[in-house]
Order: sequence, then structure tokens, then C-alpha cells
Amino acid sequence: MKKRLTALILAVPLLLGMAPYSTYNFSPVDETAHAMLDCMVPVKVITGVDLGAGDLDKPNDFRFGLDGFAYIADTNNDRILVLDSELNLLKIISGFVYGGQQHTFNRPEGVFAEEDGTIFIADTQNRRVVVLDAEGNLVTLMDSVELTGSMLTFRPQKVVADTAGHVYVVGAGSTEGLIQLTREGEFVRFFGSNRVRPNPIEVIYRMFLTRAQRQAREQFVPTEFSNAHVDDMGFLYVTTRNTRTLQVRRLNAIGGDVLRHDGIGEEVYGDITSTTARVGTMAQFQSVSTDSDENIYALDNSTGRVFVYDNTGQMLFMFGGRGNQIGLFSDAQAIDVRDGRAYVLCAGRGNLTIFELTDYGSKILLANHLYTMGEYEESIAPWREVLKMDSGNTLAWSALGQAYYGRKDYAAAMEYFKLGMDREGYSQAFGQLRNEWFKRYFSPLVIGTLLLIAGINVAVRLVKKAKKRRAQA
Amino acid sequence: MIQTIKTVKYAFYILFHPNDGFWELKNHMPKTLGAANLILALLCFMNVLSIQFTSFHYGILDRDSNNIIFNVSSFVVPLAAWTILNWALSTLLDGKATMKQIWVQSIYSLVPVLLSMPVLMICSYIMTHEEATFYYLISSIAVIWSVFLFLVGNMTIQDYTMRKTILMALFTIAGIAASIFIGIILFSTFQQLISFITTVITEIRFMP
Repeated sequence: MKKRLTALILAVPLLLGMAPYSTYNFSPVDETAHAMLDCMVPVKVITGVDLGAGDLDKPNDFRFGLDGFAYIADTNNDRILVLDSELNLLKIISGFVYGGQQHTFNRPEGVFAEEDGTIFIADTQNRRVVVLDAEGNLVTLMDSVELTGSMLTFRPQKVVADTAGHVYVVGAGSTEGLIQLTREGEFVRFFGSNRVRPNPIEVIYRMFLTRAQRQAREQFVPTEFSNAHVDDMGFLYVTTRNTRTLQVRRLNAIGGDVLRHDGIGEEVYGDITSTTARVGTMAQFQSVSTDSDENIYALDNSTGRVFVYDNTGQMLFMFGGRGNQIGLFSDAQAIDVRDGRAYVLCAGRGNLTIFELTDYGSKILLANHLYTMGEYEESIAPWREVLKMDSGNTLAWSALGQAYYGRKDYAAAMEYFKLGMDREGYSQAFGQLRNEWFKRYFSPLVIGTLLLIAGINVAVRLVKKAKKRRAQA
Repeated sequence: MIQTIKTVKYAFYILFHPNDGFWELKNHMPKTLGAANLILALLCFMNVLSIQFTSFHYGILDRDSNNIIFNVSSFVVPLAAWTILNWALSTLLDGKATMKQIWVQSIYSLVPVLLSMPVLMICSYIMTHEEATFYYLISSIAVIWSVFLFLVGNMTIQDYTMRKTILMALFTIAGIAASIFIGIILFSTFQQLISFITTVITEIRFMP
């Protein structure tokens, strides 16, 4: 009875469509967070018991496969759950047959599936990647992979495969980048490693050290990746832990970062000021996913928040948090997005929270999608609707400014840019207005200046003449 | 009043002839204190104006949080601190200026900044961000000029060499830092004292 009552009380926010967190975005004025309407709210929580598979124990990965099914890596239960797109349990994979023997998993932390149902399983503690077909038969066993030129042992935590047939593995302790494998499990290279950014004070300090002292100090090593994601276009997204900048990146085919980082925080993702972060903590991005409009959903394990960015790196809104209520997590490990819903896997509670876009959130996404596609004119109407609901949305004002700039209505654009706190846009619109003004008044301006100069000349001469006359008199 | 305004106008002479100008100002000009305070008032007023009316793309983003008291004190407090500390130190190190003369000289040195304010304000309505270099060039010329006048002026009225002036300026800045430090300590000590006394009073009042 008591349990049911608690469940009922916990369910109240769900019924009311309320969220136990307050959504915010960062203000261009002083980079502090300002509250906005909720854009994504929790609608459902699914536990292992709900699925009929028993409690999940520290599940580490949740992903929709390209085949449309959903996969959960139930790490401490050493099994993979396969769910259909409605999240009903289809089957449980707990092992495979290899060489006539039944093999089991040991703490698998990652799972990924391709269009034909081929499943990649990062069998972490067994130090191998297991590739199974849709029926659960072994296709390839990527075992004892030799990482040429590296001291690292192969301990895969996440695995993804792109459409070009490459397999990318996030290895534990792999500071050299993603481990790229062939489909046969041969090591190709390290891919897209994080750049090292030495601390200038440390560099100067090191100049005064002997070689032995220098070696004893902690080395500059790039931070390791925490997760990877492949979007519909085949781009690879990676997240990085233990760093304050470039935690989310989009990699091209040669491992270069092609995300524009155009947001307010530029290369800083997550909480850009200490007003929203807990003091002394650092964002720990654990998972990333993208929707069909290329918006990026990045999950920060440290605050439990999901930050949503558009494809230029501009933050749109956030949701989630740390706590005990529905919509908050204790140890969020994975996020995936599909059809306007976000699914966040909490390892601490062993459950999956489903979030749905609110009216406001979907309007922002629609408007911003049109806007980033360059269809400024079409984006005006949805932006106006966003503003009707929340007139403090600087993003919307600034986008309207851009739209009116496109219409060559520079005066209106300036007004909108001002409301959107967008100095750069304001300056550009103002420059255009100034040009127009110059063009229109060019001839009167020139004639006026010439007349003025002539007038001054004449006046000076007259005064001189008068003075002379007075002197003579 | 006319004398005061005449003395204010003398600032233009000082701009280009700091050595003669400050000497003249110190020894022969009447009503210098009034003139200096007038300039300071103008400076504060222009500062508020320029914060309020600089075009959006050069100005501060958040005009709502603008605070006139803070704006004014951001000029007056450092000037006062400089005057007091510089005077206090220069009396020890055979400076020849009185506190009033230091105050007057410091304010007169800020005239380039004062003059740059309306220019910058007007420029902000003419220039886009592409011409920002010129905008910031003007403001940095004004600041550098002011610093130059500050040093030369101080040298003239204290009758120091340039080296000694710079040294004194550094000492003064250190002195300001020290006095801020002491001020903070005093403040927090008094805070604790007051809270201690109020606690004792509360204890006594509610004693059973």
C-alpha cells in the first residue's frame, strides 16, 4: 500500500507534465543561466522489472540500433537486452557459441546494432568485441587485438560502426583516440585523438627542472574519450571526460573536429559558469546522441543534465539533473534520441527515463532547424510562436534579427538583434543601414560639404577684408 | 565662478605642455580645487552618459544593471585613495605637494579620458565592428595620454625625478592594496565584534 502511494505521488508530476528541474539556457549578457520554459519533460520510467527481465544492475549503454530495435547493455548482469521500438522485451542475449563452446559476457559496457541486425558488443572485462548476427550467431570475435605502437591493452567500453565499414572502439585508458578496427577485427589506427593543451605555467616550471624531475611529474596526456555516436549522415560524435573544453566534438573521416563551436561558451560545453554547476566539479560528458535535425544531446554525468545543442554548437536548452525524482538521475550513463523523445539510462537506479518534447521545445527545435538550414524566412513564424510563449528567449530574437537582415529590413533587424543581445548581428545590420544611407545621400552630402568649405572660405576672406579696412581706417 | 572656469580651461594648455602647465597650476592658478572638482563632476557625468548612450554594439549589454552610484565611485574612490596614499608617502620622501595639489593634479591628468568619452560615444554611432580597431585606438590613446600626464604632473608638483616618480607610483599602488587589505580586515573584525555583541545581548534578553 505504502509503495503504491509513493508511486502515485511520484507520478503526479508526470500527470501534470511538470519537471523536477528548471530548464535554462545561458544568457549572452553575462553568461549566467536564465530560466526558460521546460522544453523536455519526463513522461515515463521503465525498469528492468517493467520489461520482464528482472532488475537491471548498473546498465551502461542504451542505444537504438540502425535496425530500429533498442539495445541495453545490462553490464553487471552480463547480458544484452534487445527491445523493439516500443520498448517491449524481445530477447536477452547472455552468451554465444564459439568453437562448439558456450561463451558468456563479462561486464559488457557497450552495444551497437547495424541495419541488418548485426550486433556489436563491447565485452569489456573479457577484452574483446563480440559481433553477432540477428539470430545471435557469432560473426566475428575481435579478440586479443594488437594495438601496434602503443602500451595499451585492448579493453573496449563502447563500440560503434559507421556506414563505410569501419569499427570504432572507445577503449578504457585510450588516450590516443578511438581505436579503429576493420570488420575482421584488425587494428587500423588510433582515430581523432584529443589535442594536448599544456598549461603555460607548467611549461615554464618545467624549464627549471632536471630531466629526472621532469619525468617524475605528471605527463601531458590527452584526455580519453568516454563515448561515441554515429549520426544518420555517418558523422562520428565523441565525448570526453575530465576536461573543460571541447568535450563534445564531431569528427570527419580523417579525425578532425568539424563542429563549429558557435555557442556562447564557444569550446566549453555543459555549464559554462559556476552559477549552475556545483562548485569544484567539472562536467563529465558520458554520452552523446543526435536527432534527425542534427541537434546534439550531450549527457553530463556529473550534474545529470542533458544539454541540447544545434549543429553549430549553439545551446538550445537543457533537461534532467541529479536527484531522486522522476526526470532526475543518480548516475546517468547513456542517452539516445528518437522521434522527439529522449531516453536516458541511469546506471545507479537501473532504469530508463523517457522524455518528451513539450510544445515549446518542439517549436524551438523546428524554428532553429529552419534557421540553421538557412531558411530564415520560413523560420520567422515558428520563432514568433516561441516568443509568444517566452519573450525572454534571446535566441529567438537574434534569429528574427537574422531573418529581417535577410529581408534587407535593417532597421528592424537592428531592433531584434538588440533584443537578442547580439552585438555582432547588430553591428552588421547597422553597417548595411549606414551603407544605404550613404548611397541615398551621397550627392547631397558631397555637394553640402563642398558648399560648406566654399562658404567658410568666403567668410574668412570677408572677415580679413573687413579687418584690413578697419586697420586702414 | 569665472575664475574657476578659466582655470578649467587651462586643462587644454596642460594637455600639450604638462611640465609648464602643472607648475603654473600648482603655483599661480586661482581656484584650482573648485576647477578640479568641476572636471571630476564632468567626468562622472560623461561616464554615466557614455554608458547609457553608447550605441548597442559598443556599449554594455545589460543597461538595466547599470548603477550610477557605482559608476561615480569608480572614479572618486580610486582618486581619493591615490591622493591620500601618494600624499602620505611623499611627505615621508620629501615630496613638495600638498594633498590638495595632488588631488587637483590627478583630476587634471584625466582630461584626455574625459575628452575621449564624447568622441567615442559619437564614433559608436558611426562605426561598425569592422572599424573597432579605430574605436579602441582612440580610447587607448586617451588612456596612455592620461597616464603620461599623471606621471609628468606628479613629477612636477612633487619636484621629483621621473625615476623617483615611477617608484613612488608603484609604492602608492602597493599602499592602496595594503590599505584595502587592512580595510577588509577591519571590516570583518568589526562585523564579528558586532555579531558577538548582538549575540550576547540576545543571550541576556532571553536568559531564563
